[in-house]
Amino acid sequence: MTTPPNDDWSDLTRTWTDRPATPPRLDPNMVRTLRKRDRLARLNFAGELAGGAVTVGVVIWATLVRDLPWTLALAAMGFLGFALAGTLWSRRGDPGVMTGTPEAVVLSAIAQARTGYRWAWAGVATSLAAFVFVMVLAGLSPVGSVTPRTLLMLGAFLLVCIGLYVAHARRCRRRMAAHTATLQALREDPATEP
Amino acid sequence: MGRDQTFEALLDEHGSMLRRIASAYEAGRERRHELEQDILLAVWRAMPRYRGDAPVRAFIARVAHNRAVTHVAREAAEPRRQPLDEETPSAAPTPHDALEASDLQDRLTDAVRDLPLALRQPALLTLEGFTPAEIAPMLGLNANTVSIRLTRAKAALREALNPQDHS
Repeated sequence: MTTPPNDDWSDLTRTWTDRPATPPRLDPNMVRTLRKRDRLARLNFAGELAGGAVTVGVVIWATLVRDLPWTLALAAMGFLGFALAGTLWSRRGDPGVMTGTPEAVVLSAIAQARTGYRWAWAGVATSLAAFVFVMVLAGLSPVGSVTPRTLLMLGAFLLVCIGLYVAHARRCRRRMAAHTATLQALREDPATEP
Repeated sequence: MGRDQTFEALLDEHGSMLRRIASAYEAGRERRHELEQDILLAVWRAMPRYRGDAPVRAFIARVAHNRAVTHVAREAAEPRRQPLDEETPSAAPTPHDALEASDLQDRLTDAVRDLPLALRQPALLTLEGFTPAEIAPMLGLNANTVSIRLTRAKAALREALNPQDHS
């Protein structure tokens, strides 16, 4: 059974614990929301990998069955490889959720924000690579098959994507800064404070 | 006994402690309620990992503290704001609230909430009845550091509760 460390704390402990308090109750809606968020987080990475795998399959199929020029296939594979590398790089070194100590929790939060930051910049790079890929595609395709209007629309779409990625990176950077400040506060030895 | 029943039993026994921990990290009523819910969720999720190698009360307190620290970090990263509205109740205490705030428990809660995070955690756990030896592994510190922080926390609380003694 636990006891206060010394008598100095006894009165405060009694004052602290003597208050009438109705035990809180869990809101089932929040449990459902939490489960949904967990599923979405896991699906995000799996979706990226699965999407890449499906695209590789389609490119191989188109090359073998539909006589897709090998130059186009190589360009597509190069773009996919770049996107995959970006996805993997963004998650490099992420330790996952650690709950052993408050410090571990904050470290996890920093790692998560860092992963999000990298993911956002990988998304920017992938968007630019996508545009380069389409330009290569247009150059290798028969004249007129990729119209300037198509290129313009795709360019606008990619610009929107880049804007969203940059905004996400900015949010992650703010989170990292705040978590780092919290970590410093946790590690600060109060005995050295004035 | 199913997981939900076990959780309900735990809440009956330790729910008050969780509510007090939340009150030490969040002053606003709505936000405090959100934090309480977050803490309950964290405990609910963590319970399957409990192996009985420490008292369940210590396990729950540690989970609650970890969640509270995450809450503090999140609020620091993305402080929520609400537009000023005539319907928005004033943050200033009502006469009734002011009367309640004069109560020692409320002043103690305010004083605990005003402690730096590094002091608040060991102080709060001590107020909940844990010893420095029990608090040390919960916070990932050594017992000596916990004792030093408790000494400083006690001085800060004493000063906050009895300012005339220190003027």
